[in-house]
Amino acid sequence: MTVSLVVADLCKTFGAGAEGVAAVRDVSFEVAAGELFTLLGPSGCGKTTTLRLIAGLETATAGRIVFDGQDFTALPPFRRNLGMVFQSYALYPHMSIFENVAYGLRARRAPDDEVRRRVREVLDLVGLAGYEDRRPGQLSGGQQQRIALARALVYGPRLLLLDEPLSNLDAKLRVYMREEIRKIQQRAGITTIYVTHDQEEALSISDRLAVMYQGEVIQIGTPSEVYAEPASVGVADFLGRANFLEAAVVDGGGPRVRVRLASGLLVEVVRGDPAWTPQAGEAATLFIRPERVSLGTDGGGEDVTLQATVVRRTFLGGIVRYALDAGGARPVLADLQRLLPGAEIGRPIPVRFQLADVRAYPASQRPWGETV
Amino acid sequence: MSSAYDGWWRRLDPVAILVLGVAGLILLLFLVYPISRIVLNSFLPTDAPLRLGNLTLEHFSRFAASSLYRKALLHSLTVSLTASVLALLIGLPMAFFVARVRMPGKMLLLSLATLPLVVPPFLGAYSWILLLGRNGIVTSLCKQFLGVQLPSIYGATGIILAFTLGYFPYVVLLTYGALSSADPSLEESAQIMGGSRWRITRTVTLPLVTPAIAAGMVIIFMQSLGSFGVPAVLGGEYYVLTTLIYFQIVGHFDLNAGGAIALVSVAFTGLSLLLLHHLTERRGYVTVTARTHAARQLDGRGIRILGTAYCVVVLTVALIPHAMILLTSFAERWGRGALPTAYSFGNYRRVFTAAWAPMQNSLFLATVATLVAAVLGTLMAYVAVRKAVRGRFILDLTITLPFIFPGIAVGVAILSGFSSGLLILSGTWLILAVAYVIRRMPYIFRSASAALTQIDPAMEEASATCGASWLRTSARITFPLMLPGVLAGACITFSTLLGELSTTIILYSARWKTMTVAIYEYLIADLLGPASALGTLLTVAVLVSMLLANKLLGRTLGSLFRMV
Repeated sequence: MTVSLVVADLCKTFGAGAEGVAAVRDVSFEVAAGELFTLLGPSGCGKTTTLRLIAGLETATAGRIVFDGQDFTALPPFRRNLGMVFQSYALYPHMSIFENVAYGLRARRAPDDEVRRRVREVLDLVGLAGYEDRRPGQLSGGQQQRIALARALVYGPRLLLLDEPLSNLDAKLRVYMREEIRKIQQRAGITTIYVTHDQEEALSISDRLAVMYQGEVIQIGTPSEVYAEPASVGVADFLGRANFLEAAVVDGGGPRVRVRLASGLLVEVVRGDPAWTPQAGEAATLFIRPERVSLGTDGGGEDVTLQATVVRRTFLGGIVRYALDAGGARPVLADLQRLLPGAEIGRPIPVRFQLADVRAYPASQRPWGETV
Repeated sequence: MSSAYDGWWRRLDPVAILVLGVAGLILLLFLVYPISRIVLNSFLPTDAPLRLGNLTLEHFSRFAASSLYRKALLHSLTVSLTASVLALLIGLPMAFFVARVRMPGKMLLLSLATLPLVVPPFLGAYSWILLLGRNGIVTSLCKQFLGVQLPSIYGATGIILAFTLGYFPYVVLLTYGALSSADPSLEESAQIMGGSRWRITRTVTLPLVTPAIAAGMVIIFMQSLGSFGVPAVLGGEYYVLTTLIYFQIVGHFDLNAGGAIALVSVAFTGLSLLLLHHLTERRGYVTVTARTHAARQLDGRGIRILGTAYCVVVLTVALIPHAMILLTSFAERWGRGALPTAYSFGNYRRVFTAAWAPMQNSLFLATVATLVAAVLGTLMAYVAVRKAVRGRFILDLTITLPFIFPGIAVGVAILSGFSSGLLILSGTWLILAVAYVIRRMPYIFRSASAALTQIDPAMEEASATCGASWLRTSARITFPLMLPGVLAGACITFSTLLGELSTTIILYSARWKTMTVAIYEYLIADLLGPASALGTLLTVAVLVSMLLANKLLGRTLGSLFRMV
């Protein structure tokens, strides 16, 4: 993989002195050419500011941005040759669709016939050929979104920046459009930075993603890595439904950590946070995804079985979510494909899972936004 | 959220520095300097040079010593306050009926209600003399048929009548706006909780529109306090502050005394604005963001008849003076009867020869001043909103300073600044143009700022990421998007400048007489026919420019903004 974009020790502080707010702190990552790289995190995590720093819409307090060997850090946005799609689309109401899309070409003083040719090509690419003479107001949200994408792609930028591009669309269209964006991005083969707070969107669209929190990058990896092996309780909780079980460290010496569950069971699990050195006697939190939890006695190969009682059962369409009391502070969630005969509320039922799906963290870590 | 960013367009580039510099110079020379001069002058004895030892309070002490001064202040406050209260009493029911009762032709009613606001009020004032004066039509009819002697129209009665009927649309339009944009769920939830209609009106509806009502009353108070034409026409011996200023300056050539009186009226305008700010700022009113549906319209037969009748009667009474002017302008002979005995275009022929120069002057001055104010106001709004992060407050305050200066005070300030010293402009068209620009720039500045604040910064950012420089972004994106707001402001500015009298009366010269001055002179000379003909022409010009604004905004430009 050839590295295209390098972001190194990037910092951005808004305001000055004691009132200054650090929005981005020492953010570093590298993006390969043609890769779709997502910045994911809750609102206020610094992902949009990072994107705006890459765009040049903000000036970095410290750090460097290098793209294809060119130092971007001090370059004004209009010299960076990049394309950006804004959350609000920012289409120009006083211009036709044609002029909206042609805007970047006109700024580059492209000859008229080239402008016409390129606009036609890019409108074909986003599937809106024939809309040249309309006004932005006459288009649906999804169409406006695609025009914004076309406007950002038409002059052949080497880097595409997408700032929450789907957040103004309804749920169904959002799923459709993210697949469209992915297709268009791959066809254009353009290095792309995608910003979103929606974990499902991030997991489905990205080649790799960086999870950000409070201005810092917490974890970088492929969607499956980050989902299955989150680097902290916060990441685990943010990326999807998660079960957290209390445990106590018995021996933290090796690559695995030996812990005792509330039920007294002694197990060995993988450390989720590589920076953590567990001490014997320390409280720990074990994490497992609800879809990795099964119920009942049959089936084989599961390493752990806990005795539990069904507390609640929620039908969610594709899955059925069971909440079970397994003696811990919070109920254990189990997502099953179908209703389980005999698993009525109040009934005792065994809860089973594999240790390979479990990760251990220090108990001091909490889900984001949860006060200790 | 976006406004918190200090984006690339916040950086001061050479163009912004240039605009800021030129704007600063213009503001210093034509706004800060004359206002400082009027303030200083009012502490100087008449005709004394500016020296520290000369400073005195003698002009202000006259408010204690002279009964003329004392009375003028008392009169000003009395008529302005009374007119505000009466306008509220008349306007509030109309606003409620139009907003909440199912009635035909609501938009027509509202357009008719704006008419008194765009037509210079002193025009209407004179027709009250025609109707209710000593030999007025209504006075004669009452005497003849009812044997009733109506009270004299001159003095407080007439002034209050003209102010009330001239300005009550402020209450109607502002309250209507608030009533129709408040979220109806607020009232509906009160209904569900079991509030009676009266209780809901008192505890929910009324508090929601209080800021609008307060704003309307303060505007009326300020307009009345600053009006020169109406008390000049209807006052007679009944002096108010503005006519006293005129008397001091034109009658006694005492600029310093005039300045002191102007400052006193500025103090009252400033106080009323502070009061308004205090009233609206303190309470956290629900703003008008999420309107889910329109408010339910009352459609009981009784309330509909009452509402329609009320609005028609109020509007008819308010528009009678304007109809009278139209009628008078075509009157050839007018005997003792209610209507003229012969009609002709004679008055128009006469003013087209005798008052041709004032017509040209008015058009020229209003056009030049509007253009200059539009360009300067827009550039300054751009710098204030998009560039100057720290200096914004000062810029905003300076430009809007003339807001609290009644027209006649602006006139006195400009005259103080430029009738002596280094830059002498008195007697030229420039002094009028400068005064017009200074007086009206706040309006354009405000509407341009509002337009700019509503433009998503992402529009400009998108332009930059597309490769457009700052200059290109401003020319292609920012200014075109601001244009509707600026044009609306410019059209309103143009029409108010055509009807401007308070400032002009202080600054005009024999060569640079405007239409309004010509009308005023005709009225003083009791030449009603030519005055009415000229007044009708003025009204038509004002209406055409307002209609043009509506058309421009409503059709072509408004349609550009149908964003989802």
